[in-house]
Amino acid sequence: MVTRPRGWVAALAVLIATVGAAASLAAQERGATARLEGTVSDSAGRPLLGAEVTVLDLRRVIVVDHTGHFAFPALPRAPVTVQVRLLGYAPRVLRADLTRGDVRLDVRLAGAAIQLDSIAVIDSADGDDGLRTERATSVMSAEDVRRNRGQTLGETMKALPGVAVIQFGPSLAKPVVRGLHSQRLRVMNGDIPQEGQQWGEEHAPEIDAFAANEIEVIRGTGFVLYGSDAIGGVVRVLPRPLPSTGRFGAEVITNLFSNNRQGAASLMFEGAGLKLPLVGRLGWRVQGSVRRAGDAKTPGYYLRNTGFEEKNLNLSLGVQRSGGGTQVTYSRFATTLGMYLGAHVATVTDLERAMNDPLQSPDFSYGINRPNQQVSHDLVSWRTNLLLGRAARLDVNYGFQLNNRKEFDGIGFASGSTRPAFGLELHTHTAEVRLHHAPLGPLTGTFGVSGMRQGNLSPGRSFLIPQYRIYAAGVYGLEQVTLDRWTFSAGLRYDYRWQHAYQFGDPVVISPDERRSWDGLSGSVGGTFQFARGWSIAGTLGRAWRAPNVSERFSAGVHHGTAQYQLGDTAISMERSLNVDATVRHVRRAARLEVSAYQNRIDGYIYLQPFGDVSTVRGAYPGYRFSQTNAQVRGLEVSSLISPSAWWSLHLSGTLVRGRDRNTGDPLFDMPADRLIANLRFTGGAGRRVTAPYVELGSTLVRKQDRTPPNTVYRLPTAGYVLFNLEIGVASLDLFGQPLELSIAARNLLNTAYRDYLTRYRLFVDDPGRDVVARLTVPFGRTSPP
Amino acid sequence: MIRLSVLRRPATALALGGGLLAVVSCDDPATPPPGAGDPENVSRVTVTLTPVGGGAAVVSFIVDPDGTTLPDPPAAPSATLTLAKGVTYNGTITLLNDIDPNNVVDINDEVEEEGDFHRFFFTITADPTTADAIGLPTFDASRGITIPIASLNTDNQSPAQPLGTTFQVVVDGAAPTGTTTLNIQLHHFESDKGDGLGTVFDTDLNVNFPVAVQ
Repeated sequence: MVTRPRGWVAALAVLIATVGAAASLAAQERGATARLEGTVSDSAGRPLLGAEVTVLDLRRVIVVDHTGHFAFPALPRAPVTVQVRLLGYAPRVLRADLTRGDVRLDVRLAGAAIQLDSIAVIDSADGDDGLRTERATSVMSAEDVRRNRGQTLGETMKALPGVAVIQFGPSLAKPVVRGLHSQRLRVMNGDIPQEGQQWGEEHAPEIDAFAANEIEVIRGTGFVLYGSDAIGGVVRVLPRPLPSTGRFGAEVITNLFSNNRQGAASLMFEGAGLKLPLVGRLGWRVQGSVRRAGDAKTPGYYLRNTGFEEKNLNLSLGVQRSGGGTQVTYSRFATTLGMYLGAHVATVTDLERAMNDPLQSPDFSYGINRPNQQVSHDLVSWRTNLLLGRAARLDVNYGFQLNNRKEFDGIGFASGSTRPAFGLELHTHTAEVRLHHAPLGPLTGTFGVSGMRQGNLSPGRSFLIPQYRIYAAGVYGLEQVTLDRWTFSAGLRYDYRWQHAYQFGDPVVISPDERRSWDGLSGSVGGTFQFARGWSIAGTLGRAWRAPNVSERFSAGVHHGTAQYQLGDTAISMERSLNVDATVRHVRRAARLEVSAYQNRIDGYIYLQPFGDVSTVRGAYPGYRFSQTNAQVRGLEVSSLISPSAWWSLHLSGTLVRGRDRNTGDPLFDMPADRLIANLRFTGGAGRRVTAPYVELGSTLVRKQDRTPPNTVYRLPTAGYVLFNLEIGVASLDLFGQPLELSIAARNLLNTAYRDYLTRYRLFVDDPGRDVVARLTVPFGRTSPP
Repeated sequence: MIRLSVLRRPATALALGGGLLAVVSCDDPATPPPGAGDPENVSRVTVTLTPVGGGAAVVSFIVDPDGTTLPDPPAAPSATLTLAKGVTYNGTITLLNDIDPNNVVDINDEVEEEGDFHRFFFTITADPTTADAIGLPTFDASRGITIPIASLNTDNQSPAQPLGTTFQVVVDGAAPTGTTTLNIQLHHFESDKGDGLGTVFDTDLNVNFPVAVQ
């Protein structure tokens, strides 16, 4: 949803709804000044509180209030250039001619799906409603995130088209986009790529769900801006922009989940009241959250040891001036999460026993015992934007992340030991310099260089992956042309990756000392065409590649929970993907429709292939070796919103994924089942105390997943299921002058027993049953735009 | 002048170089930390049966040269446990990690320290591939060989429950001549061992020794 420049059309871009004779009379009364006022709203017409409206010629800024309104009561009667800006949206620059009197500007901002904002491009005030977005993109606005915020970040986004989650109980949800996950999916934490052992099946993104202000999922391949290895897509977790005007605000959010008796709360303070000499106005934010949950409950029993807790902190400080800005952030994510005790199995016989006689606890407990994971993720990031002449911009980002993961297990005999079964410490430095060059006519573009230095230490008892050092660098360029009804883009990126894996210090050498490097080109070409009013078709052809990770090359050991003995293969080489996708969109006042189809051919697709039993003194394990094959993933996503009147709307979305091994013709493992979501919402209007109360009835229909690869006895197919949800809430409730946002939702309203194909505990137990979720948001003071 | 000459001393160079190395390598994972590796990796399981009242011990062991973490299978048992009719044997089972001959780890110490989380099972069986609700093969009563539960040593729970690092094998006087199999399993409970007959555990050992009665 990016507005594209239409070129240097002279004296353009004013949406004039002149106040008429009265206004010009009023202007004359004011003498040689005129009034410039208007509203700023998003593409759906909702007011954008906090948008900054700047009269560039006079360097005067006004921030839009909660009705979306702004006004400059007395400006010189002359043509002026007005810039409207809000982080997360494509900025707009418009001209307003005040020579003849007052002018009204009603501006719509479209969400910026790709960071290609061109600051000073003269544009028309019509938003394009996302018709010019090349890739299939889903954006959860701040309001969407608040309403759907789940127990984890992954759960928050799982209903988006094309998105699924691999779950180990409610505490651990790994996003899957178009059937691909882990290192085939790039998760961006703001501007910093999240690096946290994401190769692991049971390693979920270490990001606080409360720190996510907006979430954007871009499906496809070949994103030059985000690296070469995002074969499935990119998930961008966007934090809230810092306030830049003198306010103090606070926000308290509480989420309660009945299923696992969870309480979660976030407290945030922010302000921009401090003005430093030479520096400018300092915006700051302090936000912390805590979460505590006990055992999850299926319709018949509790899942023992599935409780978890989190303590998170996020501190931000920044300065934003007309010439640019800098922001520094420190964040900490820390969690202890229990792994379902009944899934913790070793040998084949243990696994069969656990499947035939699963552990079903009649009692609830908040206890988190072994086996469990303790993960902490510290992030320091620095971001500077500099506005250069002629609307060019330079961005410099730096991030340091420390990911500390300890897994406490029952393997071996010394489970009482306080030393973790394995521990991994990942240190990652990333840096990027990006230049958005000055627009040349309809051509806008970006060039950049990025680098990464990463080190992995394994201080735990047993071997899982070797210690290693990685250096990676990339250089890229992306250009886009916007014409009247067409846009074209082309991007190219070159990456180089060097890895030194250290020998594992054990008499029985599992992993040798090894230095290796990989390099390759990635990129994409694409375009959009508005072939009729309110219709567009978009397409991209993208190429990406991914170097194999250390787990795929050096694994040697039992993966508990699946009783798999996993062996890496050092001969594994990189995966290469070629992706074609097309999206047709239709936007009308009363309806929106988006249909995407894609085909992703992945050569050298890395997966686990059974090779026979591995016999040890503990018993027999089914042996799996990391292997390569040529695969293909195809799919279809349909998303539509029908809202013929203000008081009701229907949202329908469907996702289909078909993954296939091209060499054997068998289905790929881990492809999500077909899914259809239908939500019917009734919304009231604005009353004296209550604004936009709503009732939403929803249902999720999931088809059975019987497309499972053969020779994997334990990948049992799952039956289809239907779940119903009910939600009642209010956008704003005035309680003695204090506004609140409140909702109560019952998910899996009928307490249906079901097993989702991507839930790893499905071999043993059902997924959780009914969950009643209460969400409350209380803003204090004037907080920055949500 | 005197101060400058300090810089030329080897000790200074070493100190500076060492300091620089320390700084450079402070987050450099060049050397794996000492003691890395899994000390609970079982590479040798030995069963020793000593007749009560004296006599030569009957010993058999299974060696897995690369331990439980690497895929090469364990070797076959070194010997058949040859038992005499009418004799009762005191048995011990020993678990070792002797992959590094300079650093042999006696795993029994750990098992006994954590006796409240472990239980050994000894089953004379005709078919070790069978498994009941807790994974034990079907007991073959026709061989006349029993390992009475009361003969197992106990843990530190109250009331004490069987552990089984020591046990007794009782061979009936009328036991038929022939061969059978002794299946030995070690069940490891995360919590709540109770009597050790629960269904939620990790199998830490599952080996079979050939037994012959003469």
